[in-house]
Amino acid sequence: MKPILCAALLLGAAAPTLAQSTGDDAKALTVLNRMADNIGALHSCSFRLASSHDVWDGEAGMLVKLHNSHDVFLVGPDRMLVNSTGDGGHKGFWYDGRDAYAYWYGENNYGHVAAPPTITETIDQIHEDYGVDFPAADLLSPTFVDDLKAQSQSIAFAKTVRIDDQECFHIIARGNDQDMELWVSNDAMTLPVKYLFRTREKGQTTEYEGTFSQWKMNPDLPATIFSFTPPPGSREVRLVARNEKPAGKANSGGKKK
Amino acid sequence: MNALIRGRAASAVAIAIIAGQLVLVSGDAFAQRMSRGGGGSRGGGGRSSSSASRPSTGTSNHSYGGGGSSRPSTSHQPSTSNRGGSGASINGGNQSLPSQGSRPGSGGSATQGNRGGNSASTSDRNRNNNNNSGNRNSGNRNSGNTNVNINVDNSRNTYVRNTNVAYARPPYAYGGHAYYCHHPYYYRPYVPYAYGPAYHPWGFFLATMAATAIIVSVATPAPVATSTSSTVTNTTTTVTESRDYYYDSGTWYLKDGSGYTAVAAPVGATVKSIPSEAETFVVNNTTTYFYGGGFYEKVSDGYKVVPPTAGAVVSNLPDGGEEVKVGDQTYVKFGETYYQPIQKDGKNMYEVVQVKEQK
Repeated sequence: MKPILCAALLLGAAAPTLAQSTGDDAKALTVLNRMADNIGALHSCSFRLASSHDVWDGEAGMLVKLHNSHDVFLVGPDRMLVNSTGDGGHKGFWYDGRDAYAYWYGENNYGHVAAPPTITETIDQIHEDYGVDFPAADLLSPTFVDDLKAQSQSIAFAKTVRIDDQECFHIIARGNDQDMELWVSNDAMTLPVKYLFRTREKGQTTEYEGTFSQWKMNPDLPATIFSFTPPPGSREVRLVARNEKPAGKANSGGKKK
Repeated sequence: MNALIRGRAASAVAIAIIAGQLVLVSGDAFAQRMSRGGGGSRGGGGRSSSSASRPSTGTSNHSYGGGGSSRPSTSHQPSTSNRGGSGASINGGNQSLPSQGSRPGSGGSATQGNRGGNSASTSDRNRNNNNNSGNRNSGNRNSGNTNVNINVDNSRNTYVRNTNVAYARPPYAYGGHAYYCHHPYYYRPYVPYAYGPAYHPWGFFLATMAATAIIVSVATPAPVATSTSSTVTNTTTTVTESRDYYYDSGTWYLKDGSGYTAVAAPVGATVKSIPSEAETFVVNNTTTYFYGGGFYEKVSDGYKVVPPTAGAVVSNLPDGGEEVKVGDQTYVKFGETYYQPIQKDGKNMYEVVQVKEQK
């Protein structure tokens, strides 16, 4: 708990500092770094993320918004459980430091891959290989602040606002193709409360939004929850990597061989 | 500051297909929207007081593809106790560079010296894709009439023909490819259809060929390249080979050592009859027959093996298929052909998928 207490004290001391900063970027970066420090100091945590994102509905010919909810449990450096429900179906992801399993509740099947030794590497690798995106992975990244700086032309502290009765710093990062808005709690924990990505591509703007709730810092989580046991009757399926050339690719031209 | 480019989810958002967008997997349209590693290597201690000594992500060398991995079978067991509050950081600690002068003193001892350069290279992992089509030695043949070793690439027998029929339904998108079907995805577990004792799935080894079997000589559709060396020049010639297949009651075999191995029906082969259990349907205005994973069309002297046609719908699939997860959808794969579970007229069926590269 020391880091948290320390953060609380620092934040209290920082409030006047924020107000006295000469530039908005400095304010914003102070908040972002504190948030990243606090997340990085966590040995375990859990939270719920309510997300929505725009996808192109080819049949409707328009963007539609899909909603999902994710319960996330992390124990550093190598345990992760994510349980997701919503428009994307009910799915779970288990990582125990050695193996990663994805389980589709609706189909009662699962896939398995060997995984790297840390949460962050696993998130990166599974994303790279299989396109799996993990809730709030960007904010949990140890290089979040640098990543945001690298892709933003400006990062500005906008104002303080209240979200669900919680005072938050509203930070806006503007980039060429993507903007990010982030709301960080103005309290001892300085944790993310909400974020919004706005991406511009091919003349179209899509949004991804996530709202955190039920943050728990350094909870005692039983190790057993991170181990996947195939449910009765479930079937293992082979996961096709994103870069695996689909063998069923049709011959061009429709000619018979 | 150079950003390390990790798979950027944002680029695929606009083309993502609603039917395939699920939450946790296949997240081309989902959360991880930022390029990563703006501060360089994410290995190292970072500024937190935790013992974050994350190895470089560029050294991962795991074999993917599921099942047995190459990792040593040392005593793996998740930690037996609660780790909260006493273990390592969940992410190794904040490793972003402190902003100049704006941060109140915490983290002054950042280990920034280790941050440059090494990107989180995730592209050089060894993978075991189980994609057999690329692993055959189709050109490995000595031309000296001895030690002839021709490896027949049966994958060509299961490649899919386009129908040139427009799809009204948007494809399922994954990994830069679009998976087209006329019918919506309707999952059910793959339960192989039992044709009867005469049928054998691909790969089945038969010690003795039945007396009723016939030999069908089939020219290999693709040329076999051989290299002829001389003291002066190297020349490459193209030779069209033929193989003797054994056909019995709808199952095709190739001689394999002391016995015979069931293989995919060879495209181009013609037989006088096919089992009466063969399913008949019309696709691309052509009456087509399906038996044991093989597609046939009626010709003047019998039934000719043809490649699967995209959009063809079959009631059952035999033994020998593999369930694979493509993003969030589960297909049954036979050789090079993907079958999507569907429902047609209230009946569970499978449709041959047309796979196209997305531009």
